[in-house]
Amino acid sequence: MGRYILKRILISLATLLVLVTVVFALVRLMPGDPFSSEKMTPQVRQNLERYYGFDKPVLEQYLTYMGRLVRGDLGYSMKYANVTVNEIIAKAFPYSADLGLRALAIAVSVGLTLGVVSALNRKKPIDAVCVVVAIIGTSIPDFIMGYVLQYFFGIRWGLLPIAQYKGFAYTILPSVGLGFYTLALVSRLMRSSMLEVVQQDYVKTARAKGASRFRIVRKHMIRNAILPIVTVLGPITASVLTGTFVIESIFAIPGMGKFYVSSVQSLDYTLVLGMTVFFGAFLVTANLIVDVLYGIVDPRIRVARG
Amino acid sequence: MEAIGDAPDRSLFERVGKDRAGMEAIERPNLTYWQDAWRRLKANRMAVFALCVVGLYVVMAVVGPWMTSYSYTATDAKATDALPSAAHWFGTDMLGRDLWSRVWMGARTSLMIGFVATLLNTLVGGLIGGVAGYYGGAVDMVLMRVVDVLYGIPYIIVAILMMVVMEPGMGSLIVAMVVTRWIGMARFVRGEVMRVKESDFVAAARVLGASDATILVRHIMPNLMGLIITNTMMAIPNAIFTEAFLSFIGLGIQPPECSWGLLAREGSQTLSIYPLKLFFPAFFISTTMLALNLLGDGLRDALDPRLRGE
Amino acid sequence: MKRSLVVVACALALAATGCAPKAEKAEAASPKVFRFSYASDIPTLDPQMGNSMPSATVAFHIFDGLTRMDNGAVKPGIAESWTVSDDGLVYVFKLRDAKWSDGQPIKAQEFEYGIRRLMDPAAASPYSFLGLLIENADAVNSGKMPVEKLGVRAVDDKTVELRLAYPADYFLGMLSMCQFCATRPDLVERYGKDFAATPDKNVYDGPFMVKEWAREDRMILVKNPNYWNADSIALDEIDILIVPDENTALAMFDAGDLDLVRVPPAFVEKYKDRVVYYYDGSNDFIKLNMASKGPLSDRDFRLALNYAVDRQDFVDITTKGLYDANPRYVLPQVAGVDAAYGTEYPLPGFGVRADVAKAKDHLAKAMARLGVADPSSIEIEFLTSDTDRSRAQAEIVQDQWQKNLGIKVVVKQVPYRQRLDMESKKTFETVFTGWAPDYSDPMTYLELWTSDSPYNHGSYRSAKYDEYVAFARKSTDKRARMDALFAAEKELLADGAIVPMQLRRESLLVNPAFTGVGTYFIGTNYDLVHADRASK
Repeated sequence: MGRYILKRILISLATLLVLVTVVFALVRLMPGDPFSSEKMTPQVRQNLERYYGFDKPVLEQYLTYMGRLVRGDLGYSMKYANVTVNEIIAKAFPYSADLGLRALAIAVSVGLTLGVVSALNRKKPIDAVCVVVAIIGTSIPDFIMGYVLQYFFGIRWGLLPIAQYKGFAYTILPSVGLGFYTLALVSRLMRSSMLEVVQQDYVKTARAKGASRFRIVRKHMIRNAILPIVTVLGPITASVLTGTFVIESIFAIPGMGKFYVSSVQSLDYTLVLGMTVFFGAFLVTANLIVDVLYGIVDPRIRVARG
Repeated sequence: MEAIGDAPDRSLFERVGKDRAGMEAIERPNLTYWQDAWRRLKANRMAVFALCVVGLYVVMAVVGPWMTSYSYTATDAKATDALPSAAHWFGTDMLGRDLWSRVWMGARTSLMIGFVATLLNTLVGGLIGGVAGYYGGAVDMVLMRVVDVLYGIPYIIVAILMMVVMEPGMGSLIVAMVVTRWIGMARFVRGEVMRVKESDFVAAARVLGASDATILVRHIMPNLMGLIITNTMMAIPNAIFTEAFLSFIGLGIQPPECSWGLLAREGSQTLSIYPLKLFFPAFFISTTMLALNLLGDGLRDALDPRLRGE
Repeated sequence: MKRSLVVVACALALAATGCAPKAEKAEAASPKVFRFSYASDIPTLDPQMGNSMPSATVAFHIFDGLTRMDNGAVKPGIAESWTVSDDGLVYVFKLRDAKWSDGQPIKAQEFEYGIRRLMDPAAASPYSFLGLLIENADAVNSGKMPVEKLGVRAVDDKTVELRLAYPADYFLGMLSMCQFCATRPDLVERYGKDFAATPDKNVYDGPFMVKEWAREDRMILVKNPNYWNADSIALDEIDILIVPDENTALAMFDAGDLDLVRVPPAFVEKYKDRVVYYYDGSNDFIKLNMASKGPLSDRDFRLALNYAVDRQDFVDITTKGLYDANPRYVLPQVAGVDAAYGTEYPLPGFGVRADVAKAKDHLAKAMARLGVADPSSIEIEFLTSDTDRSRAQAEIVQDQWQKNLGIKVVVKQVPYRQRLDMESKKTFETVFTGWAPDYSDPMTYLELWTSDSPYNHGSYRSAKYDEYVAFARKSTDKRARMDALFAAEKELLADGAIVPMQLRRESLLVNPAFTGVGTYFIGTNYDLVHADRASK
């Protein structure tokens, strides 16, 4: 197990290296540059290029960047003058993580419950209700969901704060808005997966052995049915924590999504790369955890101990 | 073959022989897998209804814009943000353009992107995920690391680069979506293949000497068809929403074309004063998704090999 | 099995107890707090590095220049008095006894340092072109001369001398901008690249000082007790919240969470009895690339494009009539000789309505010259950037040109940076763009189109135009100078060098409890120096 994990970590680092290199190249292929502005003159541009070291050969810039990266230094942002990428991430990530975790907790807990309940009560009214909830969730884009929630709960009825993120009441609308799609996705996948599992032999066997209904559902069905959900949760976790641009904009939350999109839009090379490294590390870690979780959750997969 | 013992009068009998044709004849018409699936799908009333809705929208996407005399691009300074009327059935948008024709022009874009991008994603992702999951080991490791790298690249960058390489528009959008979005399907299929490949019927096929390709295509994939289809149906709204998001940050459909996502985005800007401008696109997006979901459910049941002949 | 439950439970627990970022204390602590919002964060508070309106607006409140702009009038700032030489080239400023927020006296050497830093190529200020009118500035900025040769000098601790390359009346107003403010060399040296990155890494000499700055979240300014005119400041605190979505900001104003908000055009009708209007100075026009292969090199074709747009319809549709249709080029509100330029030099220009007959007439002439028989065989590309509003604008212009001229217009929507890149590389045919003024004088708009201007992306070449502008640069006769600028504007329009479109007239809602909230189109959007809240 230890060796397996060590090997996975080494491979993850190699993956990151490739990722950084690819994005380093891609970002420079983008049309335009970080200095473009309505009032840019060739002279000022030249000064800026020298200041940021862009007058040097690209390979040298790359090596300089990698050298700093190894030391954990992501460099200075270009759009937010005088601020390091490390500082930006350190300030923004807690907001996104908090929002993302709340959204995921709502999505996974409610989604799984709905999926299981609806699969066990197939073709009954309660199934229909669960399916309708799931469909509403996957039928409405996040920005419509965000605006609608904000409009009714915040503006029209005044029940919850309209925007910003400064206390529990503030977190409710954005986390529901963010989590609803995932909730629906989880519940539908879980329902499908449960229906698949119901017909498996081991379920019949367990039933034949006289196991209680609750025990069968809990021990045999959910445990096997949850696998496809675990698979999709890795990327979903990453995307919930990265792709919150829309919700963050609507609710004025200073999280990562905003920086991510604006860094690409303003071609802030160091910030784009810094964010990519951060999310890349996040992603490979999430995948690592998913792979290890597979070993824990799936009764048939066991990583050899040693 | 000669009879033994006292032989009856042979003239009373006539030799029948083997009816080789009759032996193999099947009384009821022989159904292929797909015919059977279609038969079962037809029996599912909700799925048929859903199919009709999707069909209706596709037809309307073709003929809808021509049912009114207003072009989807004609602006009118005197009729901006109008409510539905005899002239403008769905009202007009902020530039005074007829929303009825825009909704159906948007349907063309959204449905096209939704279906084409998702289909390509499923094909590419399913194939790569299937291979990775089936072979496991080094192949899996390499493919999954490639996936990790691709997943880590901000897709806005890919979308922008696609716009530079290709002409901005639907084509570059679809390519950008496929380049970045097949990964989800690949990961999903990989996980499922890893699960199913340990099943007895796979072991049996292997013992019987079936090739890897046969096992993957004939034995494993049909068993995953239900989940893949459900997942694909769920991915269609995702593609439509992604287009809306990309339009929102300026990387979408080029003016004066429009899409449902774009109309919804425009409508959401003035939700508190002109709610209908959000309602129409949101209604069509949601009902399309509803229909696709019901259809996905129906297909899931219809394509499940274990439910065959029920 | 148990383990899987544990995993889910852990996730739930983590989420429930979640590490919610700590928020501010309640607003009640300060009695007079004014709150407004920006859509995105203030890029920088380093005085010489600022190049955006939000940066300038905050700088206007936390720094004090040699002069201070007060509703368009130049008032003394840190400089108590000044003299200007007869040839308009040498300015001498006498500083008052003023202090920084850390109690240190403000010295003339700090102005010298700040202005040198603006032009120093090693410091790489993105806005250094602003100082190009100072003596030797061009040579210093391109590294051909040491910064010491720049035309700025601290005569003694309390006297600053500035020498210009050419006379410019607007220079006094320009000196109020933060790029020309005093800057502390000791702090720049101590903090290096981190200078002004956080509130404690700089000091302030304006009416307010920065107390807190959370990126993309909020900035809090508080009254600066060491400001030389602190007694005149009524507000205790200014909160700037970052609210990306303008609908959200509007809702927050309605809920009492903001005291000032910009109203999106679609909502102006709803609030029309309460909004106040102001011109933010932005002037939007369509640049035409005369060096491109298409028909745009033809003057008649360019005039046809000009007469074929209905500017009134354009603003009525895209902004519900909020913005002003602009039939000429220069913003009429900039200073003329004795009054506003637009009042002294009225010009009907192309008119606010389309003149289809004239447009077709010019088109026919152009087609005859180009040897084209069918207008629909002419195709031009219309480049624009990626916001919702640019899309609507592009759609209207596309519709009008196609309808009124019968030509084909292809819209190309690209990300903002790519649009700027294509403009500067001149790889466009027509592009929707704009210009915000840097000082209150027609020159701020007209200097763009001289043959040697780095902003002349349309490759407009006119010896006459160059002559008018060159004359205006040298002349010390105010009337003759302004006449020359007016002649240049007319020349530019007669050549159809650009298609002027609109002047941005923004609408604001201001909490009625506050008085003295000012707006301006150069150097700052909002002026809260005189703002006060009526006591309850």
